[in-house]
Amino acid sequence: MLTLRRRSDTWLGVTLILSVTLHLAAFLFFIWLQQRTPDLGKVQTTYYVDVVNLPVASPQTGSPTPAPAAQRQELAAAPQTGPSAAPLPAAPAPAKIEKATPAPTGKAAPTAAKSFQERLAKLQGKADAEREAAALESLRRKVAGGRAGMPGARGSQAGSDYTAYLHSRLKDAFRETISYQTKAPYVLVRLTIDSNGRIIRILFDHSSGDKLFEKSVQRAILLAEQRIVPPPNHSTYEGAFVFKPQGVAQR
Amino acid sequence: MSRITALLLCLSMLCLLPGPAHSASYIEVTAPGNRQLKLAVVPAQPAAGAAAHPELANEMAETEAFDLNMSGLFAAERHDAAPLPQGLGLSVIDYVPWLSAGYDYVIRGEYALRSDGLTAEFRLFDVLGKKQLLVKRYIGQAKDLRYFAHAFCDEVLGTLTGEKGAFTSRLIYVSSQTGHKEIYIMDWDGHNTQQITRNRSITISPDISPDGREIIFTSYKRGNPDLYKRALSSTVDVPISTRRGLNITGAWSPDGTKIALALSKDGNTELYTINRDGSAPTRLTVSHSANVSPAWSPDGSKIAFVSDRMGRPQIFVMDANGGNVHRLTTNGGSNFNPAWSPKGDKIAYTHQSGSFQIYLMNADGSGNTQLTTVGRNERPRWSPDGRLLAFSSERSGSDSIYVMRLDGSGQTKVSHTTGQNIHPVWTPRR
Amino acid sequence: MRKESKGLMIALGLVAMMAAGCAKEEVVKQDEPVVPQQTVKQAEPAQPAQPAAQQQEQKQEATASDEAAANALETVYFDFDKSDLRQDARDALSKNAEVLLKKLADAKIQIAGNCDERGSDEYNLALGDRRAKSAAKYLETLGVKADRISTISYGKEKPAVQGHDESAWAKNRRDDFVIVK
Repeated sequence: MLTLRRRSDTWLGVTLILSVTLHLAAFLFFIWLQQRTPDLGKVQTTYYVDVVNLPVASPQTGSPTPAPAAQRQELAAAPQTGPSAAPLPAAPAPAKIEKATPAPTGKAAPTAAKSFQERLAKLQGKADAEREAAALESLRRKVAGGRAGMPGARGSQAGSDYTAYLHSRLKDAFRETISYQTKAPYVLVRLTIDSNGRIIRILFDHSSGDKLFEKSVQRAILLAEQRIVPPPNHSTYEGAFVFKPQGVAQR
Repeated sequence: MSRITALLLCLSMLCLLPGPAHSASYIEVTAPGNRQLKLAVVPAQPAAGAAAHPELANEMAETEAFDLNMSGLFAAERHDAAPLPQGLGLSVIDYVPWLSAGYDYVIRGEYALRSDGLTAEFRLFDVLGKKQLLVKRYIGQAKDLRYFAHAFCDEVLGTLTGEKGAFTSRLIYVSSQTGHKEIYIMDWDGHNTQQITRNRSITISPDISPDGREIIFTSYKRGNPDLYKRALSSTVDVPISTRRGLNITGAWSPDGTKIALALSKDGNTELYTINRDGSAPTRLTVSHSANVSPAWSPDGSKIAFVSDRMGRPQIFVMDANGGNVHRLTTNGGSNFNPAWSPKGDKIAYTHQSGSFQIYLMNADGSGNTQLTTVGRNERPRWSPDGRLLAFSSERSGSDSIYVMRLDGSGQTKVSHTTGQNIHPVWTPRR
Repeated sequence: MRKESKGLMIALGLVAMMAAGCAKEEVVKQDEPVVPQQTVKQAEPAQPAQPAAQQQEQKQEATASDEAAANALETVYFDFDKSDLRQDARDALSKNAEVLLKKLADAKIQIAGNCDERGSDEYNLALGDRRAKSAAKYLETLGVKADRISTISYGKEKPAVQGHDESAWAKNRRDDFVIVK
């Protein structure tokens, strides 16, 4: 700052303006990309949905043995250390698995029940489109020069994994509560989760204004809260999520 | 030195840049489908010390379930449950059974029928959130019980969707039950039907003032099709337009000051506006053809109407002063009965090519969607909340009044009168 | 008033004489392709037969117009969604004009425009209005004074025959001529 004031260098000004505009352009491009395509995080989450949820997710559709017990536990008592706690520490996987995704799930499959196979097939179908988009996106990033690399990956490994875990939990819950009355509703939410796994803050950043949809998001978060484990390392977690209906509205 | 500073600055910006980008990168959570919220309506329990009248409680519960189902947002059903031992006010609701039964919301109530009338209280509970969302108490007579239920459902929709329901609205319509076409009124679900006019003539095309107090209609009671006005609280028809020829299809402007109607006093059937007392006719359309069925946009700035100026009858739109006319329907066939949605974004109408069917389009004429397919269906009209359309249908023999959702689902016959039942119009909420 | 009733009496007498003998044949003989006059006239009162009350509406017509006199005026038929006069309509109107100028020289008539059940009822009111007016205009060009003619439209409210096929529709797209006082 001092140097700046002392020397009124025109070069500096030009460079500064140039760099600002360049960065602004890069910044806008990045935002544009973000809006157009799902970001890298999705790939991880897709992968995570399969593995993390294997023993406990969607108890209604789950394998017959653990289902009733798990369900009761999740409905009545909230987030003790349920069976969901187990896979989490085991799961932390390398952050950048993209093409590797099918491999671990493939290995996991034979050990699981039939219902899992069906679920997997369903998820796979849905995930394929997302994966493709994500792959394209990462390619585009490489071409763009890597400057706008995935910022989320830079944080602590555990953090991004917890995001993925939370995402899968929210998605499961959202499936059970989603309801809306307008065409393309969305809600941007910021969640803060304390070291005990309690959601201590739900901040609605922005909403398309569909109150019914807002309520369903709220309920999804409430529902997810009953099923999540605390963030790793006794830390507080903060994450931002956008809730949207999938595909075209159908009744 | 300056270069280095600049570089540093740039670098620091580089570090900063991903910052906002990071916080703006929301992780997408999506889910398929659009769930109907599962809602249990528990028949109200008698208040402490009050006698039990299960028939009243059941009727209120059934009414609520029917209303909420028709909204399309809920899968609502009556669900009997043990009464709360401490009464509605003091008891602690045990949400767990409702949760495990898969309900999102529960409505419970309490009532007391005494010599001085009926009191009812309803409460809406959020099962997942484990909290009470809404409490309403209604005081009236035993005959008001359906109104109580409708009024509470209006509030339930308001609480859960941000937009009140319109179940306290009623339907005005024309029935030939007595052998003559006369004006009737009923609750939106077909209950409490009452005959309004007794003209023993042809009485058609009712419309209601925005304040819900007065209706206008066309009647041949004096020979000529004249436009009459009548306060709903009265039995006197006041002639307000008795000009030679047709005085038909009166439509009250949204601000209540004017009435648009079709007159044939000058030769063709043309559209005019008159004051609410019938004075000061102002001609809107100039054509060599028939112009009927004006429909105001909710802001009163535009009027959609039917004209055959280009051959077969089509829907046109113009400014409320008659300027800027253009055609809206170009889908072939004939098109009638435009009705502007309360939000102003859509127009419902009747399309005829072979059969008569109800269609929906955007107010600019784009995006035509067919809503009905069975039988002959005519004359859609919007509920005040814009969630439902009433129309007449011949599908079950003679014309009856039906109600449906905007996507064409939930088509339900509501009128109980015999003969021809046509020309439904929603009143404002009560 | 007295003048009118006198005229009516004369007309009545004339028509009664005709009715006794050749009226029916005459009606049949007309090359009216659509429907014989007689059936239409019978069908109309028969249609709203269910309640006695509908008669009230027609009372003014019924009392004012003698049936026989009314029969002297032919119904005019139209094409779908049209109000222009076909050749057969013009022929019928010419005959009606003749009756109005000679036999019923003092009578005032009301032309009632009607439509088939297709089309919206509101639009059909306008269409019926146009049909009545086009017949009125034609009668005027044939010399019937305008102040003797009034028009009314019933749209599709008063079908001559019930039915949902072209033969019924064709009979309902019509102008009725009613003698009023």
